[in-house]
Amino acid sequence: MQKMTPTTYQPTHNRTVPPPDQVITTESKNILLRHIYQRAEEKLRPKRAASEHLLPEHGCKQLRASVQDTPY
Amino acid sequence: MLDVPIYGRIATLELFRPHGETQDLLFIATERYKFCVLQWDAETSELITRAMGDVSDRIGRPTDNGQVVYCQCFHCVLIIGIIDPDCRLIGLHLYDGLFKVIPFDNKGQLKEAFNIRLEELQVLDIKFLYGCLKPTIVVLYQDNKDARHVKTYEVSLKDKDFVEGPWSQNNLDNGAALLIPVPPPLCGVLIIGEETIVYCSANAFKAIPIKPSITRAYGRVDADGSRYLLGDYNGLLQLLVITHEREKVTGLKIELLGDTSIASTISYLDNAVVFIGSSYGDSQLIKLNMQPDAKGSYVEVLERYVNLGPIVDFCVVDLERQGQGQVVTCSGAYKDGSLRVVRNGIGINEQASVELQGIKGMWSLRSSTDDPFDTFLVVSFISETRILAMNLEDELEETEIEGFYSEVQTLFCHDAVYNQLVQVTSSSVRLVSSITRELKNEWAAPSGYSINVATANATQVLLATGGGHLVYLEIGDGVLTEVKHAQLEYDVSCLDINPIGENPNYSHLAAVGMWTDISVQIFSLPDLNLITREPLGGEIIPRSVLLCAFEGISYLLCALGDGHLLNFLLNTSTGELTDRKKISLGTQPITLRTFSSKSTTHVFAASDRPTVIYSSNKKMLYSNVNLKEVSHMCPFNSAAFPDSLAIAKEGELTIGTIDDIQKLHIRSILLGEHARRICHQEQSRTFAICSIKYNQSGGDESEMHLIRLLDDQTFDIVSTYSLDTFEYGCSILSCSFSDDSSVYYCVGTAYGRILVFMVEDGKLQLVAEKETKGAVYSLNAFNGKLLAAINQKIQLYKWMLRDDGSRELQSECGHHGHILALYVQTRGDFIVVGDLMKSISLLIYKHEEGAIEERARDYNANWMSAVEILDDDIYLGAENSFNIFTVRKNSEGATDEERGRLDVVGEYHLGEFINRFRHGSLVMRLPDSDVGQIPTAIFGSVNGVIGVIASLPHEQYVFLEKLQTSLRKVIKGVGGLSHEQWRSFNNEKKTVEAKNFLDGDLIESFLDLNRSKMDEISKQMGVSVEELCKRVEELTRLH
Repeated sequence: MQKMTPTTYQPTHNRTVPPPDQVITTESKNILLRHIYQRAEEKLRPKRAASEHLLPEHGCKQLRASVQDTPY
Repeated sequence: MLDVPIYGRIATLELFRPHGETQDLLFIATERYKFCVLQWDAETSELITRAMGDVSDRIGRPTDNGQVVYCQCFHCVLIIGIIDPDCRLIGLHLYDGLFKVIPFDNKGQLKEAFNIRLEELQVLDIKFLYGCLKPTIVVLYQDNKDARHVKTYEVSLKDKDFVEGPWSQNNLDNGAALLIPVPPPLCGVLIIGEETIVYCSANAFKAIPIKPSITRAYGRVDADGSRYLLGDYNGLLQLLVITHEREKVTGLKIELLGDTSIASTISYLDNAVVFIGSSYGDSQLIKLNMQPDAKGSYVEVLERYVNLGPIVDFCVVDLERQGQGQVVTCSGAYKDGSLRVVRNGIGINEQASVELQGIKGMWSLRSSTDDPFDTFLVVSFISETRILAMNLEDELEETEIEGFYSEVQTLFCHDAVYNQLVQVTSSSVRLVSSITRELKNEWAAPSGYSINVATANATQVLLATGGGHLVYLEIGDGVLTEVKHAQLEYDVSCLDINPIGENPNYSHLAAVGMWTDISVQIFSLPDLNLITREPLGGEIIPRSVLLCAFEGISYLLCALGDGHLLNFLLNTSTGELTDRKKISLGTQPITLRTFSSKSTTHVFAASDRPTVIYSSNKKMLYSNVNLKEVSHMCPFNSAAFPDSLAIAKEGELTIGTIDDIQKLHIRSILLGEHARRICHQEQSRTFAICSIKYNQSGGDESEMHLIRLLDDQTFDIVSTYSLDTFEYGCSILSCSFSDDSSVYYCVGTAYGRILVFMVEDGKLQLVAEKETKGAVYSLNAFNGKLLAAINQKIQLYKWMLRDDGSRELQSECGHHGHILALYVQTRGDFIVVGDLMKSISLLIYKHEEGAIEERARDYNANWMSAVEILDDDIYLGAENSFNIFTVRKNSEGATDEERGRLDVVGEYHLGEFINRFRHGSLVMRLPDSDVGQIPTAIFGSVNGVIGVIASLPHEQYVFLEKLQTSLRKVIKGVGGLSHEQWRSFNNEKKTVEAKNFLDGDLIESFLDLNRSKMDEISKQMGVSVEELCKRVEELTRLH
């Protein structure tokens, strides 16, 4: 038996291009900024919960919190 | 099965199966931070890209150890059967301090990747743990006090962050470097150290001591993860067993199985059969036996797969003295070190030869129809025919076949049915009994006509006489019957009726080559009806036609008088000829003959450039035969010389066997030690090598540095010189000096010595020794003197005669100004230096002043790995980011500054780490052929690649560049990877488009395309397919 040399694969079909939503990139947001925002969110979350509780007395604070609640 | 080109250096290769898939997908990441996910479509046999992307970050320090990419696809959900769509991901560790996550969505599609900060900066290994509810990694790392620890983290996809994992383990073995995740039901991780192996999980810790060793690879044996094969740096294979009661780990056991190549990968296949992938030696397929052999080894090697890597050095020599180079490499590492002799083309191993001038044709005949062997060899000359046969002493001697005409030239001979032989001469066809050797019947040419050409098979004869008469005869028992006669327009130049149909004795088709109208015609048999006429074009007549079939495909080959060969696909039922291709084999007329080797039929094209034509994967291939010129060939399968060929060349008849029909032949000389430098000495017919022998006796490891002298034919070690302990041989050279006719071997060592040896009576004799201030990285013969690269200096030594008649090296002059001068090449008075980190510089030796001065340099900061001088002005370099480049001397520059600069003219990402360039070629070069004019350099790389760099004429470069551009559009990169990006010059400092280099592999893949794709490219280029094929085929003949 002669040893078989494998064929060299030369794709000429169009399926070497991935589906458009499967071209993957890395999230461009800086890792530190992401942390800062995440921490900011975490800090705010209990506040908001608290503010709901305290709504009758501290009505004025709700507006400020909701403004800060949209950091991005 | 399939060889898939990937446009990248593969950093990671992982099989995985996302939720909902019925088959595995392949994840590939490249060292240039591209990745792709491939799916195999079995129906169309195509690789489909499911996803791809770029995982590079703008900022980040690439991980140490060059670039190690850790990746694993998280499987736990599938294994424990909880389908939690949130916890499926691919993890990559590409830059220090960052862990990249590519999450899957619940449909198995990849989502945008993100980075997580990893506190551990010196990471040694990362793996995913099995059996966790959340994806959990285990990290083996080293702290800033060099202590090693493992730590686990859960990946929180929601927060895109790590959460402290379930356990950690501090202060492991200082050599711990490998993690093996254990699948369920046991789970946990094995930590492989140099002195201990530890099993660790949230609730168990077991450790065993091992013999000191560095484990390089592992392979899991059982799906439940209770047994593992470990391969170490010495090639020892061990079995590690996790003992357990129910699902509780009770301990570890380790057992030595035996020796293999030094493993880079271990894959347990099935039934105790294991694949050992090795980058230091040949890869192996091994079987693990139940019982040890006599040496106590359980390992049985079933097969070896040749690996030339790492090629540390090589030389190009013409060992057979046939004008064809062979490459002899220093391959492999440590105990797997070897020399490999790589030869292109097919060799003929001469068994016997006899001087015979003026051979006009040769045929072999059997003494009876069912004899398995040939008995007679009919040799035809211009005015006689001689019959040779094997005598009882197995010698070829002259004999007679009484019924044959021996006073005239024979035009054709063949075995015929009913124990008969056929001889065609210019006047008649004779049918002779092969047993009594007497004439049984004769067909005479009509008077006034002589037979010009003839052919026959076992039952048919076809001949042509002057005046364009074509006559067809059939052979019966003692009868020759003229069946048909046809009058053609012109004279016949060649013909063939080789049976390629079902009946091996009868052909339904005849191929006829014509004078005058330069065509080839196909006739049907027995009625001699013209069914196809194919004009060949041009003015060169066809000299040989052949009907043949390879791998079930029928072809018509037609050889012209000028060394060109045309081939057509032949439709055997309609006689139609299609897919015409033309290639140039040589410059002289070609004679085509079939022969068999290992029960496969091939075609031998005898010419000034003998070639074997064969087929592989249904593609016709051409391989050179390593002989200078062959006028005739016929198969001669005698009892004494089975499977042989009779070859007429240069006044000589040779009987020989033929190599396996393949393009490259590799001979391995396993040394058991690491050869690092090699050079050949023509005069003493020896090789000298610098090598390191590693000894392991009783746990004590030592190394010996040796200079070995080897016979260049047998490769036996004939002499050895031991260097001092730790004295690495860095360079070796065969040279002679002015005013001294002797030839010497010079060796430069890292210790700071140059040793000069002479070969006397096959022994290395030390004749001189010179101390140097540093390691001698390179030695060159230079103007009858010795040029050495010693640390940061280039130093020239004279060879001086002392008063007592002995010789010594005496320093003449030198040149400072390098970081480390590692690679040196010279041409005339010019010296080209490749520096550790300062690219290429050009020095000149000034005879009158006895000084070496810098003339010019490349100001880029390339870390060099090899240099070579291509011509007076162009120098080639390879650097450690896998790129090659060329620089040009700028003698015509207007200013000193311009003249002092080497301009970068070519840049290219080869993707191979080159250790050595050498001038030369693996193919025989004909001075009068087109390709004979193209200079080539050969390179050898760490991955075991041997390649050719050819300096193309401008016109050809422009043409092929256009072809490459077209091919990039037609041949797509697997995984969507771009060829253009892959070939762009890339190092830490810059990435620029490749220039003045072309990818020969891509260009040659044109020949693999189907006709419609070829037509597409032909249209784009405005050049005919035939012309494109011819020019690409020419290129393939360079290597």
